[in-house]
Amino acid sequence: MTDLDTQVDELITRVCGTAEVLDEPDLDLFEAGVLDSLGAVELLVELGEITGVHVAPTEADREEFSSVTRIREFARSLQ
Amino acid sequence: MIAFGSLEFFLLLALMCLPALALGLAGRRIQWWGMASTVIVLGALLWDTPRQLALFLAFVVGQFVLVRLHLWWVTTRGREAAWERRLVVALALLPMALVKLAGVAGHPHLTFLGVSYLSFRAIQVILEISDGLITRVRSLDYLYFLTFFPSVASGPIDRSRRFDQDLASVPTPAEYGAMVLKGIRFVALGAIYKFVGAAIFARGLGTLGTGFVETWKYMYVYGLDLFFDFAGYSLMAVGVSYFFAIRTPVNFRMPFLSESIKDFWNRWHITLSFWFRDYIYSRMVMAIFKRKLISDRARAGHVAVIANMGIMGIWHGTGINFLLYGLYHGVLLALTDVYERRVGWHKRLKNVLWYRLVMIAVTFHLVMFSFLIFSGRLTS
Repeated sequence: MTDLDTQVDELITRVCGTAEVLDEPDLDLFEAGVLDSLGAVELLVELGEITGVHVAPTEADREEFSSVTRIREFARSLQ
Repeated sequence: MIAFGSLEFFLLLALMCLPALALGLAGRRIQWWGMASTVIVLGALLWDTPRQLALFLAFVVGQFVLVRLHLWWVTTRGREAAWERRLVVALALLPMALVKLAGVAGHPHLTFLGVSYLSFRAIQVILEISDGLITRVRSLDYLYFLTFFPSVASGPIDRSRRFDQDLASVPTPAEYGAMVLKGIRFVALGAIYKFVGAAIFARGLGTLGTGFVETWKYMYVYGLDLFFDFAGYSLMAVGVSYFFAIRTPVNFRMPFLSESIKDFWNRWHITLSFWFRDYIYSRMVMAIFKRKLISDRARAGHVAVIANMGIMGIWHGTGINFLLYGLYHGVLLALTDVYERRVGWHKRLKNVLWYRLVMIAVTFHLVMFSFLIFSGRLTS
């Protein structure tokens, strides 16, 4: 796991309020109710801080960060 | 002629759809006919109110010039100047603000068709240019997006990049055929909602008197009238857009089955809710986080959502009932967030059927009450 991956996982755990989501990386976080509009904004802001790339609120469709797997991919794509 | 109201409008619509059908089924691009239709339909809607027509044209020209200037600025000077972004957004908002204020001051003649809705489209393009998400604007595509006639009266509020994607590809005859079938279903359902459903409830409204019980009944009837009227209009607007190979997003998705107020705003006036979320709420939260104004993230979210919904309320109108409507929803959203995070039984029960049914009933009543506030009956 790279440093980025660790930071992203920590972020996901913090925003979703539980580390359990990491065990189901393809679960749709919005549908499961662990991620909402506020969480989505937190995610984008902090991914921006972690990667040093500012992410605009409408830069990505919700589908691009709707699961743990996709969030990790999205973070990598920002670098 | 009233958009989606008068018979002449529907006859005109049918006439406009025929060449679109011919083009689409032949696998040809419909855009140019779509633009011509927009000119014809807007002309027909506005020709007997020359002041509105003039205001509408001035608005469109003004927004176009503004977007071009903004794009030029961002291309040559970059996106960092916050003052420039704020100035351009303020200018884009100005027509809508003036219309609303003039209405309050007793001069309702400044309003024109679609001012509230077209302003959102214009502001979205401006903000995304500042975000760097839009780097070029094709004049005709922009004008088409801004004035696209099926959704000019009261939305749904589309997004320019999504709209451009629809313009970029020409559907095959088979794909277009599927769009047409979908369009027909939407228009038919919308017509039933508006001309049957809403009509029934609207007639009921007139028969109700005053007093507690009557107000209770009024609450349900008004709320259902509001839904069927607006959902009906939205469905017809979306349906017609499909005839022109534009997949305008829907505005309603079984809102009375919402299991919470949060869920409700993913199901009611969806394009407005999402526009506010993406262009006001998110940016407010980002600003609070970045400037560390409120350390508790959840509280930051609550402040932002109340402010966001308050603004949404007053966008509907300047009466106190509209502001209260917005604030009521904002407070409910904040309380719902606290409830979902802190109340133990919610996490355990949220997938249990009886609990979900109770939440649907509770949410339905909270929402109906908000419409009662919206109606102005409580504050007049």
